[in-house]
Amino acid sequence: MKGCEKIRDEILLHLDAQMPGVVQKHLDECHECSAFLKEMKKARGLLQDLEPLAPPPGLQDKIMRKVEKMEERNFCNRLKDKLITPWQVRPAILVAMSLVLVFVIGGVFYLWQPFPERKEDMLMQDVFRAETLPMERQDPRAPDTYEGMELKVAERRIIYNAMLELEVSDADKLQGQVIEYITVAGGFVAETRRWVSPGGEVSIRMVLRLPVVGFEDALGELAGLGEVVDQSIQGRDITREYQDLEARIGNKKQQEQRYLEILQEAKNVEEILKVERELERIRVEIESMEGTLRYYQDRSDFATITLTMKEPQVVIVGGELFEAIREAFKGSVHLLFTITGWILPYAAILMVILLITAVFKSFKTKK
Amino acid sequence: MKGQEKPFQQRADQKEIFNRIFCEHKFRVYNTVYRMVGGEDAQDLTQEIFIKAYLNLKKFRGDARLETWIYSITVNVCRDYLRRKSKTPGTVPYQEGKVAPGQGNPVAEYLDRRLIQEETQEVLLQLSPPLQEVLILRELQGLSYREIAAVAGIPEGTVKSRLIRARRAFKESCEERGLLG
Repeated sequence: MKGCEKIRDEILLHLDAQMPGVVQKHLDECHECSAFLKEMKKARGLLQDLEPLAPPPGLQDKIMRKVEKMEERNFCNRLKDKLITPWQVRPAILVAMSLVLVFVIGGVFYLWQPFPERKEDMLMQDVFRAETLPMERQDPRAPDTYEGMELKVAERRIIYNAMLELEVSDADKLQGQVIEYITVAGGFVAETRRWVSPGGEVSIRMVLRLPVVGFEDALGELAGLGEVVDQSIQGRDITREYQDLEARIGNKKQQEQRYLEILQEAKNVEEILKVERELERIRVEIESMEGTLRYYQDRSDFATITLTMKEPQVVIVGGELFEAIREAFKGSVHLLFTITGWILPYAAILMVILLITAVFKSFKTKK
Repeated sequence: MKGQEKPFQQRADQKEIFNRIFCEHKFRVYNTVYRMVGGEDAQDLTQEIFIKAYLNLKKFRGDARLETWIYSITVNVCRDYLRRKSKTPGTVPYQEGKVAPGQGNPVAEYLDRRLIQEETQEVLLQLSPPLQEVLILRELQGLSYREIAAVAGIPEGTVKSRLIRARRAFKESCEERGLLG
């Protein structure tokens, strides 16, 4: 039965169809093969007897529900993908970071003042105080009224005050020059203040005192050190106050003299004590007045020059443009802050809602 | 059978089209799955198949018949399932054949028939997946060789040789269980 094996494959293949002629012929002859076919048909019958099954009735609803849910999730996923896919996340992070950077820089820029502007200035205060000393205001007509005094022009007492602001290339180097110059001129440096701006530019402010005679020369000399940015000169005539004070001191001294004489004549301790008390009072007055006088002398003998030397700011070339940009930037940063301030609470609420829905969704789909 | 389904683009239509597809194919798919994997997971797999179909609806281009397309999804899902299941062996209990001939009693005959059905199903499940799927597609679903080749992704020649082997294996299994007695 060697040929049967091959024939049987053919039988198996054509089980559900018309057998080819050769096979049919073999079947007619070979008993075993036709028995095999019979068995095969029986087996096939088993398969075909398998009853068709109806899918469970709830299946359709279940699937449709799931599809619908997936539709929703699909939307969420697409949204999530948009936000979370690494490739898309990077630019988002970049944008966020640059925003933060802009905020920080903007904030610093916004709050930062290029120079700690100090009011003009403690240094000047003593001068102002001198001006506002409790004395009669100067009568503007004074010099004219006392015509006799015109002769004593040389004795006019004037307080000179100058303020000079320079822009220089090297403040530290010039400081040395200034000190040298002032010393030669017979003056001195009353106060120095030096500060460095965030850009590294050095600024120096010096209060110089020098004999009035050299005042104008000194101003010219100092102005030559750099570019004059600001300059002011004040002269205050205190001749009258000065002479007044001198006269009053003279009076008081005479009084003192008288008291001394009285003291000589004093008869008992009580009188002595009384007179001495008066004497002491008058001496205090005299000393006080003499102090003021000395101050006036000093002020009018020595002129005061407040010299400020600043190195130019880096961007000073386009100063106005820079300033404009800075202003604009300040404005926009301010606006940004305002807008953010408005948006932030709503954004927070939105975030919370998104978060809750996301959590809810994932919880639901897990089920 | 409508052969030429247009590519589906409209999202709104999609659900309706899907609904139609489901109604049209649910018997085919469910039965195929049932015979391939048994009743236990048939429902879940059917669901999986249709959801896959839904998700891929956009990709279906109408260059194949919709029926073939659905069948190939079915076959693939079942293959995956069986592969997974074969890694956890022993889930299909082997039952000793115990079929007695009908007694003429309608109830007994009914019970007989049920028993035979179950036994046949068991035999199918024990066939190796490549043979089983060809056999089911051919004998139960009545697909042509060419269709089976398209669905299973194998040449027609392979379909034929597998069919031969499958029929033989099936018969032998039935014999062992005394189903042919």
